[in-house]
Amino acid sequence: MATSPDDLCTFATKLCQTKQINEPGRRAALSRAYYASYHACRTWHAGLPSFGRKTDMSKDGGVHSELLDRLFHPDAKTKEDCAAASRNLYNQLNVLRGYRTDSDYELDEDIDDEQVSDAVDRIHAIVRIIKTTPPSAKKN
Amino acid sequence: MDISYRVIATGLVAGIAVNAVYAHEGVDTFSLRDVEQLVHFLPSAAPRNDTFSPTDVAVLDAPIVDRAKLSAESAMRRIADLGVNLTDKARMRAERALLSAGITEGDVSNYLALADKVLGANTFKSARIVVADDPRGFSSVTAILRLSMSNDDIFDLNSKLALLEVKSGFQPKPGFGVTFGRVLDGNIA
Repeated sequence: MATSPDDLCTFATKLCQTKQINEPGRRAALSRAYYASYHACRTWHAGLPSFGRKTDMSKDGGVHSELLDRLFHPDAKTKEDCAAASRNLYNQLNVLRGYRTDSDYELDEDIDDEQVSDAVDRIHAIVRIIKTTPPSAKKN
Repeated sequence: MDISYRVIATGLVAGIAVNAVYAHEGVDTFSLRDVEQLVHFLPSAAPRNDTFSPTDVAVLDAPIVDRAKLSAESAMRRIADLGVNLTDKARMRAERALLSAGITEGDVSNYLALADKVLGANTFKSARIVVADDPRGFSSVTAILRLSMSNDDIFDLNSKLALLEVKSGFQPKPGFGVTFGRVLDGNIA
């Protein structure tokens, strides 16, 4: 792989931590934060022995909605800690999705330092969840 | 089948379906998604050679749509109780997302009660909401409860919340979520 999700997360974090970044910069940083996290979560989910369920929640959406749907609905065979990790990844990624929507489409909404700071925390959380809960074994 | 009979038949089937959903879900949990599902359900339940359209059902079930709107508004009021400051536009987007996902005040209260268990004696300093409004995907509102805690402690709280969701069998609707976050201390690190 030419660029890994880790590389994207590292870059997005650095972008978010840029000192005295202006509003267009904050928007760009939040957009990168979402996409880096999306790839990290997608790779984790792809490693699960049983994928999460796809439901009506993403029937009209694209791949982004589908990933969130599957993370939200871990398969019944998934171990409890992996199921909780899946739900936790959904929660983190979904917040970043909201930031990304505001950053790219809601130009009259203010984008402040608090959102950028929170995005950094959530990237760190996603990386930590993925590292501490590898998508391995099925439920016994 | 003449038009008047068809309308009566539609009304009967719709009425049966509405009552079935009422009985199953409770009157406060109707959403636009329920109505959409009803539209899909009706043709298979209808007498042979009969035809139905979403317009027929939308007219017949107008009170259900109104109920869903009221439900989203009350859910929004419950969220506002957390002390969230919103612009008018942000409030409208949030209400639309809640309506689209069929979120009720009960859904919000249930999730907040779960988050409260995880919080224990800790209290959050401020609240913020994030709206992911996606007309082609699914829309959602997430309440971020901000605490004066270290990143590690916040991480633990979010992990506990997710684990409690799974262990308790709690099934939140995907249109509303709660997560913990740090109060900005001025140092982005």
